[in-house]
Amino acid sequence: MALLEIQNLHVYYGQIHALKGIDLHVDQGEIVTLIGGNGAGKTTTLRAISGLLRTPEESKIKLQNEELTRLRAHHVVERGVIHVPEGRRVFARMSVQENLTMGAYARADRSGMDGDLDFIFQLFPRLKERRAQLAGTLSGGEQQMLAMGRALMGNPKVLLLDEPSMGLAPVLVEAIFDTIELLNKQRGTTILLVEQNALMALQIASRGYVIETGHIVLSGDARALSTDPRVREAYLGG
Amino acid sequence: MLARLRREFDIADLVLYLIGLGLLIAIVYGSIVTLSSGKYTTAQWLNFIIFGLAQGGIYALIALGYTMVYGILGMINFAHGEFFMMGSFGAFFTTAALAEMGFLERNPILSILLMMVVAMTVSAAVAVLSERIAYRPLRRAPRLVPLITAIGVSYFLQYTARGLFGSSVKAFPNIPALSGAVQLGPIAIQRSQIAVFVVVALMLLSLYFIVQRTKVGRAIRSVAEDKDAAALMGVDVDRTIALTFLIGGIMAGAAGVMYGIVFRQASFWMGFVPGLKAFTAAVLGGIGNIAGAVLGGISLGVVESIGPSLFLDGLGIAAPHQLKDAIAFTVLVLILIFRPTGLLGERLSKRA
Ligand SMILES: Nc1ncnc2c1ncn2[C@@H]1O[C@H](COP(=O)(O)OP(=O)(O)O)[C@@H](O)[C@H]1O
Ligand SMILES: [Mg+2]
Repeated sequence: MALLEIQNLHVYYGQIHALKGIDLHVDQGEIVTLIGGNGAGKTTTLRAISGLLRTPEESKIKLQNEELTRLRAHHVVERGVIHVPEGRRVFARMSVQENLTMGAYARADRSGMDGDLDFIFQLFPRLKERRAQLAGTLSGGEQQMLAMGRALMGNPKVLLLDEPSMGLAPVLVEAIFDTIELLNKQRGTTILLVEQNALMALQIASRGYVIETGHIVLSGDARALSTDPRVREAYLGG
Repeated sequence: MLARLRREFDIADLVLYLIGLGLLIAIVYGSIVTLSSGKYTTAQWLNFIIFGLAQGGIYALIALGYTMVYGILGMINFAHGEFFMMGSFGAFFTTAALAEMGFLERNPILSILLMMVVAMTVSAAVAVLSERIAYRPLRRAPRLVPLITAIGVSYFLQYTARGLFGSSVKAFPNIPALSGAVQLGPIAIQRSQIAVFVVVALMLLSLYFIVQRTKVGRAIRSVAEDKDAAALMGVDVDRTIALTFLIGGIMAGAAGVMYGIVFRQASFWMGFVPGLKAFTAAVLGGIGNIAGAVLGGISLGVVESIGPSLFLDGLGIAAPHQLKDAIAFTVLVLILIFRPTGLLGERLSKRA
């Protein structure tokens, strides 16, 4: 059974029909990637799932068969759907530690939080070194680590990652993708990964969807997609 | 074309700088003349400063509401002075009733606490209702819309108070425990001023603790920084904004009591000038910055209190104390010319 299931998702920005009926699902323990060019509707999809955007009646978003549709964002977080937004959006005027504390805002279990903090510091030792520093003074790579660490503090059932590799040097991109894979393998975290870096995303994902101007145009096994001539031509440079 | 535009801006800047410089020279010159004339004694100066600190503490409490709402919504809530006024009426009716019962004389501390509770509740309720009814529906409207609405709310509250309580000035009953002065060496400090210092210090410390050290405070700071990111952490953004109004209202209510204790009056228009002064204080400190509001409030209170004697006496201006409001707004003008971000602030020009 799908952990996260999206049916017929539409989003309108005023007159602009940005998503025109998206269907996708993510099973327990999977990494699924949603790839597509700039302006295709990837961010819009994640923002609709996490309750930041309104959706019309006919759209359905379900977590473990319970409706998330039209819940407000802070209630979606309480259900365990945690979204690392595009551009990281760490709280620049708070310390690294306070950002991590914010990540656990919706959480009640103190004991689990301490364990997660240890795990995050193990995963990103840099964050531990800089825990007292203001987040705004971190480098781009460190901010991405912080954004992911902050999301992990919320103990996600499903982690939504919006272009975690954006604007990072190739070495760092490699490190971030390794971390995503490790999270999934070690902790069994279910991940929906949005990327423009299609090749790398398809390498760590089990399945993928290709989105173009608000439609899913292709979907399937990640390995099959990465050798599909249409995908190669459009996203992988031929 | 572009070059000409650029030159015109330079000329405008130059004129502003010359005005600012002229004012600064007048201030320095006036101060030197006053000080060398020896017209005021040290004890008198100290009294001016103490009065200024008390007045400034009241400005600081009100300024916090302006600055916190600006920090979280990017909006200047011009009705905030009226939240203060409503609280002051709450305090007035409470003391009047307590004085009538004789409770005020028997139990002054409890009476003052009761005044505080009533005033803070009234101001906070008015603040939260204003947010809910007038501002929240406009959350996505262009910036000018909530600003004009705030002016509307301000008038609405003023005339509501006038309708309910009449247009006369209400005189607070005398609180025996707070009348008279305590002699501290050469200076006499009014008991009412001591009460103001104690209450302001407690309010500011509690606020600091709440904002910096508690979950609620982190929620407020996160919403002020990035509403969507805060929502993605599980913060209820609407509730947090309402809470910010609530805290601003509580501070304004406390200020209403302090004003009542020091000046012993309440009227439907009393929110206007202190509101404008507190707004000046918030801009002076750097609007959006909580520490700035406190620093701005206290500096404004002190400058306004010593300014007339210090700057204006030396310039040979008669009855300088009539001009203390002019001094406050001159400070605002100077700040906007020389340091538009305020003493501790960042990027006012970008967001305002
Ligand atoms: N706030 C908005 N208002 C209007 N149109 C928007 C807004 N955000 C995104 N869009 C439009 O919706 C489409 C999808 O955008 P987005 O989801 O950000 O794409 P992606 O994340 O795939 O780059 C684009 O055409 C974009 O211009
Ligand atoms: Mg995007």
